[in-house]
Amino acid sequence: MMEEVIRVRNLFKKYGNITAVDGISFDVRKGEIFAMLGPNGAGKTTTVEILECVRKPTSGEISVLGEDIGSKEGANRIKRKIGVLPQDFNALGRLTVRENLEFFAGIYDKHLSISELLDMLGLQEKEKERFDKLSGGLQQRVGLAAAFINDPDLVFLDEPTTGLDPEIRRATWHFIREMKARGKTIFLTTHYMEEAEQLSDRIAIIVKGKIAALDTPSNLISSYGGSKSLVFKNAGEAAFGTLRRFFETARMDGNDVILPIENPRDIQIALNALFEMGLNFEMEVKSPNIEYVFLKLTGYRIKETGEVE
Amino acid sequence: MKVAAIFKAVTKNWLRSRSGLFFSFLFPVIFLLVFGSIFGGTGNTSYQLYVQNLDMGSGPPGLSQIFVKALNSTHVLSIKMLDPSVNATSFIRNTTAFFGSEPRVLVIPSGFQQRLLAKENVNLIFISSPADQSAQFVWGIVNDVSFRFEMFLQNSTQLINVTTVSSSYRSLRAVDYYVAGITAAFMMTNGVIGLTSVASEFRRRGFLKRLFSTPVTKTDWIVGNVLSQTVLGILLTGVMIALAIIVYHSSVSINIYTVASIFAGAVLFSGIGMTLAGLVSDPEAASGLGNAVAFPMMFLSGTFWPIDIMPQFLQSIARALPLTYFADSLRDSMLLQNYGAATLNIAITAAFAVFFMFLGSRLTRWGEP
Repeated sequence: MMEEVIRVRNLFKKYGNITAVDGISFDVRKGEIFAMLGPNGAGKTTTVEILECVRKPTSGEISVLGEDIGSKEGANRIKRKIGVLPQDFNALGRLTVRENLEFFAGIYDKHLSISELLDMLGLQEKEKERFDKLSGGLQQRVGLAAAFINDPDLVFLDEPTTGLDPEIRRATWHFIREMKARGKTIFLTTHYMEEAEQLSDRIAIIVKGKIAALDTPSNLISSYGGSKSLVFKNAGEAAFGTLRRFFETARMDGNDVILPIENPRDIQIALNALFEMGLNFEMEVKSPNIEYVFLKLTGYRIKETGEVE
Repeated sequence: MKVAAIFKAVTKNWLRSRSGLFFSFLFPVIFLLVFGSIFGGTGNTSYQLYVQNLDMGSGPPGLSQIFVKALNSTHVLSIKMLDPSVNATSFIRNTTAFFGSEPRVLVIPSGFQQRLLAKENVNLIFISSPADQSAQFVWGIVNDVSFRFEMFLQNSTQLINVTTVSSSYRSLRAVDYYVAGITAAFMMTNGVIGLTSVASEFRRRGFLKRLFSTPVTKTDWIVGNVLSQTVLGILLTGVMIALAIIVYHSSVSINIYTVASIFAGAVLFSGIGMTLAGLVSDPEAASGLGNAVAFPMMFLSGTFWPIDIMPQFLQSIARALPLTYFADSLRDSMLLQNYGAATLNIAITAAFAVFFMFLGSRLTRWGEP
C-alpha cells in the first residue's frame, strides 16, 4: 500500500443553493503527480483551495499530510509544509523578482536557495526587475518559484500553464517533472488534456463537482478510450459513403474519415473496399487519447479557454 | 520572522509608489510650506498703509509728521506716503493689485496741527476696499496710535497697561502649530485612505489569498502593517521637523512622548483603515470611503486651526474625533513640552486605537468563504 499524502472522503462544498463540489472522494499518493482535469466551473479550484486550508468545506473528511484540515493547529502545520501556485498569481508589484522571493522565503522557517530556484526557472536575468513590469508568463514563473521556496512536501498548482505559449508550457512541464524527481508530491488542476496526459501519474476527471473517472492515463484510455482508429486524410464524402456500407462506426471529422478498428480484419476490408472504388488516400493509425476518454465520459470537449464546447 | 518579512515588504512597496510617496511626504511638505508662508511663518508680518498728509506747510517738525512717525514706530504698519495732489479714492481703484491686496489710505486733513493745538476735533479719513479683510485690523492700530498721540499731547499717561505673557516658556509661532497639525493630519490620511485602498487592492489581486495558504496569520499581517505605518509616521515627522527647523527656524523637537504618540496614532489609523477596508470589498469604494472619512476629520480636528475658533456644534464634533487627541498629543510633546497633557492625549488616542484595532481585526477576513 502506497503512502497517502491527501485523503478526501465525501467532500461537499455549497455556496447557498449552488453545489460546487458534490461529494467527491479520492487519495493522492506520495511522490506522484496527480491531475484534476475538467472544464471551468467543474469545482477544481474550490477543491484545491479547500486542500490548501484557504477555504472551508461544507462537509467531508479531509486529511492532508496526515493532518486534519478542520483543526486550526492542523491547518497551521499543513501550511508550513505545502507550496501553492494560485490561478492568477500576484505578488507585490513594486518589489523586484528577488525581493518578492525573499519575502516568501522570510515567511517560512526554512527555504531553498533563491538563486538556485531563479536559475532553474530561467529567471536569473530578471531578478532585479519589478514584478509589475514582467509579462504574464514571467509572473507565473515567479509564482512557481514561490510555490517551491519553502522546500514543500506537497505542492498545489492550480492551472499552472493556462494562457502560456506552448514553449513556456513545455518548460514548465520540465520544471514540474524535475520537482517530482526530487520527491515532491504534486497536485495540479488543468483543463488541458495534453497536460494531464503528458505530466500526470493519475488523472481524476471532474465534471459538475463529481469525479467521473480516476486512474492512470493508460488505464483510462484502455477502459474508456476504445480501440485504435484508421484516419483517411481528406478522404471526403465518397470514401465515407463507401466505408459506411461495411462499418456503422465510421465517422467524419472535418474532411477526414475515421474508422475505429475493433478487429484487425477490419483494416483489410476497409482497404479493399476503397481500392476497388479506385480511391487512394494518405492514411494513419491513431491511438485513443485522454481527449477521447473525456469525450466518451462527458459527451463534450473543452475549448482552449477552458469552457465547455 | 514572519512579521519582519511583512514589514519590510509592505514598507518597500509603499515607498516605491509614486502616489504613495507624494501623499505621504511631498504633499504634507507642500502644505507646511504654503501654510507656514501664508500665516506668518517668518514672524514679521506688516500691513501696508498709504498716508496722504494734507497738513504740510505748518513748519517743521509738524505734528502731522510726528503722527506719521508714531504710526511707523508700531512696526506692524509699513507706511508709504501718497502725494497730496492725488485723489485717494481713485488711487485705490486704479491700483487694485493683480497680485496681493488692494491699497488702503489714511488721509490726514489740512489744519491737523492747528486744530489739535486749539483742542478742536480732528477727523482722520481711512479709505479701504470692502474686500480688504485686514482693513479693520489696520484701522484698529491707527485708532490706538491716535489715542496715545492725543494723550501724549495732553501730557497725560495711560494707566492701564496690558503685558502679554505666553503660558509656555517657549515662544510658539504659527509654523510650529502647523508642524504638529500637518504631521497628524497626514499620518491620518496615510492610514485611513492609503492603507484602506492598499488592503482592498491586495485582496482584489489575490495577493492576500496567496498569503492565506502560508503560515502567515492575521495577527502577523496586522502587526507588520502597523509597524510599517509607525515607521512611515516617524519618517514623516522627521521630515516635517527638519523642514520647520531649516526653513522657519522653528524650535520643535522630537522626544520619547512624540514617539509614543506616533505609535498610538499609527495603530489608530491602521485600525480605522482596516475597519474601512473590511466594510467594503471593492478597492474603488474603499478609497472613496477612506476619503469621505479622512477629509472631514482632517478639517474638524484642530490640525490647521484651533478648535476654539469653530462654532460650538463643530467643537462638539471635534471632541468626538480621534484625530483631535492625536494632534494635541503631538503638539503637547513636540512644542509645548507639556508632558502631563501629552500623556492624557496619548492615552485617549490609545483608547481609540484599541477600539478600532479590535474592530479592524474583526472585520479583516483571513481566508475565503
